[in-house]
Amino acid sequence: MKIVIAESDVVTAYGWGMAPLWSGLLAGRTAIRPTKWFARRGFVSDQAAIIADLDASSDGSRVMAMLRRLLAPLVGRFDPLTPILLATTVGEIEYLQRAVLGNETQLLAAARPERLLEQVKIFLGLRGPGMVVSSACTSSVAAVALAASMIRRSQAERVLVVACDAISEFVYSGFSGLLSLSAQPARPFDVDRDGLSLGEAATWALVTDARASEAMGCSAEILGWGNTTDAVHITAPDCSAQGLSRAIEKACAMAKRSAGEVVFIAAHGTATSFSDAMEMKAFKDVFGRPRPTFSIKGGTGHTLGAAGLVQLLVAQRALATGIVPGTVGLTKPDPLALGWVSSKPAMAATNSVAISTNSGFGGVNTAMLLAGGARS
Amino acid sequence: MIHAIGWCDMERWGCVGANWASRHGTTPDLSASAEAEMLIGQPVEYYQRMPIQTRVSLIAMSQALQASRWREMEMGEIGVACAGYEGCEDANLRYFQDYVQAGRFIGLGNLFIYTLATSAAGEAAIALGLNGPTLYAQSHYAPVSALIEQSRQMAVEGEAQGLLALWSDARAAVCFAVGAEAGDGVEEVVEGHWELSPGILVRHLTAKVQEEP
Repeated sequence: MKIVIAESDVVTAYGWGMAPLWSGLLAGRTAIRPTKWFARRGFVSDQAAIIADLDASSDGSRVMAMLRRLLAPLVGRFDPLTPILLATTVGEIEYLQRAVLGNETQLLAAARPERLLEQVKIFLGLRGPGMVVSSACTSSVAAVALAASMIRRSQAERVLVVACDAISEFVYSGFSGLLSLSAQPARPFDVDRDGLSLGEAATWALVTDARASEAMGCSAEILGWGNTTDAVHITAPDCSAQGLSRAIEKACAMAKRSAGEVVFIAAHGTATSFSDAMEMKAFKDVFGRPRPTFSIKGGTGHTLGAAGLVQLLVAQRALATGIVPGTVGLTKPDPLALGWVSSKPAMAATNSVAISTNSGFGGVNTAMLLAGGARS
Repeated sequence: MIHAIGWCDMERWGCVGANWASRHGTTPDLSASAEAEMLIGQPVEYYQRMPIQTRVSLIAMSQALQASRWREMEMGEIGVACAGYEGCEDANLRYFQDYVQAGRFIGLGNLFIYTLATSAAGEAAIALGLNGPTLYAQSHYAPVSALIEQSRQMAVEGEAQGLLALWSDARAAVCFAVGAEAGDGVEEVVEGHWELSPGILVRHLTAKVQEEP
């Protein structure tokens, strides 16, 4: 059985849809800007990739404002019993902020991700199974893997995966407290990288059996995936990179492909010192010889629960076009990444095989192998 | 499918497993690491900084792991799938209240790291050396049954050889050791009470075990 991402859409700080995201990445232009949102706070950075034209006043939360507009074309399109998986790390955390700041404890329940799932289901007119999937920064790829697994076991013909996370004071203050934020736009894999930039995004993907997708125009095939945990530290990556290496190996084994067949790598690339170094070690250990490797986080910022799926969709576009984006923000590659990363796009054979990797707090790692197909 | 069950709240802990004499007892002072480590069966790094949700989750997971005998069988990768109506709401509140009380100037990293739905299960997985997948999977309907089924399917897919399915809130946790193969009737102790809150399920399980001759 072939399982594919048949349709998708995305909003990032670049704008609505894949087109501005793709052109921004290819142009090497970042969507990370200084923001005055937290100007009176003592944070270590004022940089963020914020969706400019988002009016959250009537929707209550930024993620719901994103989702209403992004998902509007899907209303009434799917069988109401279509399963939906919602990937997020904090969901509508603004409600918890308001509960604390305004001493309105009745708002706490509104911050639960299950409530966001309920709202999305109602908005889309879905009445079937629904699940919130959360696994730190690997959340959305973990959700795509669950969707693919459901289809492979004939539990569903198609599964809708929705992923989202927004910039909030809650998250921004936390990453600032951890000293993880760069004072300038993030520079993944750069020798002078000094931290990540936060971003916000929402995205959806319809994961289907290829036979069901033919009528809709097939795109990338999900060949296999691997999910692992380092079991080393709650925040720091495992310097040995064994967890990510195992995830990549599991993905290749499930796909029945050798690592040598992977033409390019869509890396997590947060631009934090240890995480980028850990990733490069895993790539070298598993793949040996360099191949084009890129991170989108110098452009989109780190979009947390949405990051994996946004990255996967960029990899899908790269497979379809044969153009592998460069890494936005990269000026001088870290010696560890030399020969692998570039600020400029690279060419790759179309209809080839790519891998997308993510890692997150708790030492979680995911890897997903995609085979490319030009969109019909 | 279910090979063992472990549980813990602020008052009681216990476990049942196939070919395993069920155990239960009074939960020790959870602020004292030595007593908790006796129950967990090993020293635990960073125990003192863990929130209560992580501590009860760790004890429930360790009990399920011991009663499953997976370690003796040298099982390969073991993963953790978790769920709970409250997610990490308690940890989120503690972090943000501390940040606000400190003047909204700096967030405390040691509190922020627990503000993920997978934080409690993830840190417990680190303590127990579990290196399979870790994820939070909260279903809209019948969340405990869905969590266990999801765990079974991940085992069937080969994503891990076994999964600890953790159902928890801020004060109580129940953990099911789920494998791909048929179980040995361990789940009978639940008696159809699958969708109870973690605290009530802990009381039910303890009462069932106490009934045993």
